[in-house]
Amino acid sequence: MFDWAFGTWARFGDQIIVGFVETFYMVAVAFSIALVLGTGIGMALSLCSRGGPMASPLLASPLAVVVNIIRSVPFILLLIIMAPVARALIGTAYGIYASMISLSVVGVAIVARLVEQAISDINPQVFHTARSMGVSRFQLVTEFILVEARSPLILGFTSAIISLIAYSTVVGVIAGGGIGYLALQEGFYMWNQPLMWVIILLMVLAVQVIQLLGSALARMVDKKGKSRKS
Amino acid sequence: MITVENLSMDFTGKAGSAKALSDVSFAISAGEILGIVGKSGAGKTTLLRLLSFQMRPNSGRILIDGEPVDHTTSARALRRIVQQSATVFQGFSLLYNRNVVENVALPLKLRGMSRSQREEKARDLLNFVGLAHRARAYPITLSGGEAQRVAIARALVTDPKILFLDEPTSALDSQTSKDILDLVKRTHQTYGVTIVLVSHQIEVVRYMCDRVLHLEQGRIKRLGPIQKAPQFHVETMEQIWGMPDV
Repeated sequence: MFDWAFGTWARFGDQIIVGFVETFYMVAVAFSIALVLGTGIGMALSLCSRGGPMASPLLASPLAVVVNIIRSVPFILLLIIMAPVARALIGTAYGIYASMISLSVVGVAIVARLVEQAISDINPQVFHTARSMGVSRFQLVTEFILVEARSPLILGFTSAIISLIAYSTVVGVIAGGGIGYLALQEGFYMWNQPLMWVIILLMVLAVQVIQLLGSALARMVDKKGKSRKS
Repeated sequence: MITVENLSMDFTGKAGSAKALSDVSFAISAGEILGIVGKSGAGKTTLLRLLSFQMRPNSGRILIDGEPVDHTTSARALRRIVQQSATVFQGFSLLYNRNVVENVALPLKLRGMSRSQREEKARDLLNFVGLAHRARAYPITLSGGEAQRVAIARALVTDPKILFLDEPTSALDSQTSKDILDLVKRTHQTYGVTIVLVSHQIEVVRYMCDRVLHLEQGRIKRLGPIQKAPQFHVETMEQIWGMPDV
C-alpha cells in the first residue's frame, strides 16, 4: 500500500533529510533573530501606544507602520526586493543564508504583532499594581509582563515558528535551499507526485509535533486556569 | 505627614476634557485613618492615584514630610517615595501566574532581597492575615476574601508608612467585608501605619475612619472627624428571610 512512499524514500531519502535540515536551520536562525527583535518591537508597540503604560505614540506609530508594510508585502515579492540587500550583506542573493535574511525580516514583523497582542490581553490592573510598587521599566517587563503573558507568548511563538516553516518553502523559488527547493525542483518541475506527498506528510508531522510541544509548554506555565489547591 | 496643596486634575479624551479634581487641599497626619467618600465619578480614585503617585497632577503639589513632590522630582526619587507606600485595590490585583507566597514576596524581590529572606517575611505576613496554609496555592483557587487578605499581606511586606485602600470591600459580601475591615484595623494597631481608605460604602467609613473627606464633583464638600460606628452591621440571609436556611 505504501510502496510508493518507500520507493520515494529509497530514492530521495538523503535529499529529503538534507532539505529538512536546511529548512530547520533557516527557521531556527530566522526565529532567533525574530524572537529578540520582534519581542522588543512588539513590546514597544504595545507599551508605548496611546494610553499604554509607557505611552509614546511618536515611537509606536512609525514602528506600527513599518511592521504593517512588511506584513502586507507578499513574501515572494519580499524575497525579490530583498535580493539586493542580501547581495550587499553576504555577497549573494541565493542559498539558505540569503533566504535567512528575508525570513528574519518577515519573522520580526510576525513576532512583533503576536507579542503586541499577547501584552494587550494582560489585565490593565497588573500595570496599576506594578506602578503602585514603584517598579522600573525593566522590572515591569521581566517581573510582570513576561510572567503574566508567558502562556500566550509561547503560543504566539509557536505560531510564528510554524509560519516561518511555511514561508521557508517559498524560498525554494529563489534557489534558497531547504525542503521547498527539493519540492519545487523534483516535485513540481519533474512532476514527481509521490515525492510531493512524502514531503507534505513529513511537513504535517513536523508542524503537529511543534504545535503539540508549544501547546503543552503553554499549558504547563499557565496558572490562571488551573484549580490547584495547596 | 502628607500635605496636598491645590491639586487639580483634568482628563482629556476624544470627547473633550473632563475635570476630575479641582483645587483640592488637605493634610493627612501620621497614624490616622482617613476616609475618602463620594459618589461614583466624584474623583475618589483619581485622588488616591495622585496621593500614591501613580499619576501626576495637572497642577498643585503633594508634600511628603514637608518635601514637595512635583514634576521636577526625578523618576528614581519618585520610585523611592512610591515604595514607602502600598496600595490594595478593589480587584485584589494578584498576579495569577505566581503562587500566594510569591505574590506576597514580590515587592521584596523588586528590591533585591534574597529568596530565603523574602519568603520568610512573606510567610510571617501570611501568618498575620491567617493564610499561611495557602502559601503554595495559586490565586485562581482563592475566594474573594482570601485574595484580599493576600493583597493586604503583600501591601504590608515592605513595612510601608502609608497604606492606600481603594474600595477594598466593594467586591465582597458583608461578612467577608467585616473580616477584611477587622484585619485592616488589626494592621493599623500592630504596624501603626497611616491608612487612606476610599469607599462609596458609608458603613465601611463609619466603622473604620477617624476623619472623612467628602468629595463631590472633584471638590471637597466636607472634611472632618466623624462619629465612629462601634459595630459593622452584618445581616445574614437568615435574618432577611426571618427563618432558618432550608
